Amino acid sequence: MVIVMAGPEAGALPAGSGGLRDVEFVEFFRAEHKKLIRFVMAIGAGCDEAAEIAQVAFFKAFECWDVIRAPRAWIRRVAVNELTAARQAARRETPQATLPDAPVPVSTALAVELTEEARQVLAALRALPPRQRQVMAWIIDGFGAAEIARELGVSPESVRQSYAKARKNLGRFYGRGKKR
Amino acid sequence: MIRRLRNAFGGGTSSASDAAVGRGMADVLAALDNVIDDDAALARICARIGMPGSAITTARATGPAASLRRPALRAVAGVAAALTAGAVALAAVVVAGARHNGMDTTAYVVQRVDRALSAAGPAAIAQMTVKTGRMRGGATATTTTEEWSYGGRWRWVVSSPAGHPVYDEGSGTSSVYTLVSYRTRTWARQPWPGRPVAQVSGPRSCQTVDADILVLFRAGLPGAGFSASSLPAARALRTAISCGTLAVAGRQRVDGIEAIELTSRPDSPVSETIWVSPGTYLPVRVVVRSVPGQPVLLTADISWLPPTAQNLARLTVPIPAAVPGGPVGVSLAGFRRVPLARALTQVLQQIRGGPTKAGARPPG
Repeated sequence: MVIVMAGPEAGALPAGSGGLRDVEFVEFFRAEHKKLIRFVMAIGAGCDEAAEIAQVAFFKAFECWDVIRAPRAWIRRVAVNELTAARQAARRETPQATLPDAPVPVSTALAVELTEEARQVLAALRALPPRQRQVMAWIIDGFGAAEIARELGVSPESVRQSYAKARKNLGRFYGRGKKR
Repeated sequence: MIRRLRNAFGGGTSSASDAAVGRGMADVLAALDNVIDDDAALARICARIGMPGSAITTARATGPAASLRRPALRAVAGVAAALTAGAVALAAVVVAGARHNGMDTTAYVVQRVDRALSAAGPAAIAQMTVKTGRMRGGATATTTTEEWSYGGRWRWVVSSPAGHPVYDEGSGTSSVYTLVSYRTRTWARQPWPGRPVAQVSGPRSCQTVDADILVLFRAGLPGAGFSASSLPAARALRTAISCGTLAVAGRQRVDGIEAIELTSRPDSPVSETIWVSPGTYLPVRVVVRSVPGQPVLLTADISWLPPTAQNLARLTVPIPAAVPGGPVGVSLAGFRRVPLARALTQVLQQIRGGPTKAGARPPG
């Protein structure tokens, strides 16, 4: 089997030596890239940070694509680890005399695009305790209790409890909004 | 999604908040669809991996971006969809890029280039090698400038026709400008005198397009960066592309790439040709010919680099006092710091001295 691609560095990519693997990765990337950014935003990152973390996670996924069995869960786990590491590194950093350059944020454009309901749900999720927020993020992306428990290293019962509490808190959040 | 939330753990009462979360998160995804360019993100991963971008990005898939493609490409999306569905026994998959077919193709290519530049501006470092040809005494002298720009940061290293660095300038941070002159063996650094760089998501006004292009590929004058720092390469190119003055002229091989060629219309005051990669839709070469009133020829070869620590370091002008290295073959011993105005004046005087003088007196 040969995959022929027209384009700049066009050439025949023999299947089994990277060609099909690349196509599979691209399919996965296109299906999950934005969802992963949303997932990272749901667990507390800003849009720019989430986009950066997604980039790193996909880069790592490509590196070991052949051995990943459940890529959707794998890439989310890597993204959570990356966010945790970034937060820890930020805490360790010492203050500098000059401010580092700020990259041009994607969030500027996103801010224009977000609906009021979208803003509100992000605010609601950020108001949750970290564990509840994480559980909600996994659920929103379609994972079940057993999978989430495995990924978070807790019992399924613990996940259920976190979910129940998160729903209760979200209910309060939205109820409060209505009263106002 | 709402049902998923409700049923995630086998029941529980539905609530208004479940519905609100479901709708809100769907809205977040829709907003990301409008803001995030998957192709550009994929191209950055390719660059990081060190593989040709097109080898991976030309493998098309279904999804929101597919709706933007022209009907001629729908068959391609269909093939990709079949591949997604697991049709691994497919004998051959032919993926074509946008083809030259009149105005519609121009609109499509311009749209893709605009989107790619929009995503690359904040996410990739534009590295350009600009060659400026000037007629002097019947002969053409070529000055080479290496340029890097990323957000509000930029750096230009100007070399003489003999290939020796003349000066190195830039703003590694948004507020400090550094100039190192290798001929006068001086350097200057001072805080940015102007206002901070505005982060503008859209392209600049079309009225400024010609000026933008000229400033972007300026004729090697120090200090021009003061105005150009607010003009990262991606943004200037985006303006040029978006203003409707370019049309697809076909395909041409540029550095091993079968690039899409966009040329300016005959009535345009600046004659320019831009070649874009059909894989990433990012410009790879720009040629400006016959600028009115000045017979110059500018050629810019462009690379788009991921903002790794190593690549970001290229945006920093090495200060002679702090860095014992600098350009190859140039001794930095004896450099002294001078006021910026003096350093600028000295560099300008050296440039007016002409390329012959420069070539006869290499620095170091």
